[in-house]
Amino acid sequence: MGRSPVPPAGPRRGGPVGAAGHSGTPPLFHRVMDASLTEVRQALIDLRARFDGRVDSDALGRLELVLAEILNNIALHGAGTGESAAAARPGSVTVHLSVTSHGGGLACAVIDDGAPLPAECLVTADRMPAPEIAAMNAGGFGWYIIRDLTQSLFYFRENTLNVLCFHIPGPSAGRGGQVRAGVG
Amino acid sequence: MAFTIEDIADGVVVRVCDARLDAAQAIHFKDRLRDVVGRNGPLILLDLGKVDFMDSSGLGAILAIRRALPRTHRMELAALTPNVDRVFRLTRMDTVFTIHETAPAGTPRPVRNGGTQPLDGLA
Repeated sequence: MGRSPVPPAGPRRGGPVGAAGHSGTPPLFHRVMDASLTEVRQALIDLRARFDGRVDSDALGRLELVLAEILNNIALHGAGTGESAAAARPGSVTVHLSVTSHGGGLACAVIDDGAPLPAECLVTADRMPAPEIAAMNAGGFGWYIIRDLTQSLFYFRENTLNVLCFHIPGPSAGRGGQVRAGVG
Repeated sequence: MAFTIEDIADGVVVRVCDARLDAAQAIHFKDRLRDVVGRNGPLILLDLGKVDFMDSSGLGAILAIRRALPRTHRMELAALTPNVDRVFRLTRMDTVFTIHETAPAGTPRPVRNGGTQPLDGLA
């Protein structure tokens, strides 16, 4: 675990990349952070500040939600199985987040050096339980939301790294985000 | 996580004052709301008009409170912003709540109310 995936570049690369004075440049966002709920929150606030007014606001809302689900999942479970593992090793997982506007949508990559993503996260049944049952469970929505709002979602494990990439469609094409492979 | 509480005819309006109801806040939010529910009702009308971001942890907190409601109580929602509305629709949790376009104005609670209300008006 101790090895860092990429040289630990100053974790707060908050400075605008391609922002000031480059209004024609597609906005980019890059952040290296500890996998903690508070770092995730700050990254999402900064992400919104970077993209607000420069990309479709609905797409930005969908992006923020998907990233919240992915990044919080890493913060809560990335250190290993069981909550005790995460609690015992706070901040032991590093996340690299990259977002760029692309083809009318937003292309994202999330790389972390935590425990492998369990396969069932990406392949669980497409259907939620009936709403009243889901409401009583009061959870289990995260991956459902991720799969519902993303396109071209793929994951691979490379040595010690989890690599998760996806696309958030823009306002026109493919809205609704339902993964209806091969339809239309 | 801050709330304000206003009395209405059959219960209270709980106005959530934070802009983000996310995983970093969910447990805190749940604890405080549970406390409010325990001392008010029967209607708990949750005004989410100031919340412009909610994730599945925030939704889970609301659902956990709903699940634990006393039989006499009910929880309804009001003033969902687009990002919050999206989460309810995607998960179909919009079908298990009564959702109002706007929250009614109630009678604001005095900060001190019988000396037992550490939450009321707390910022």
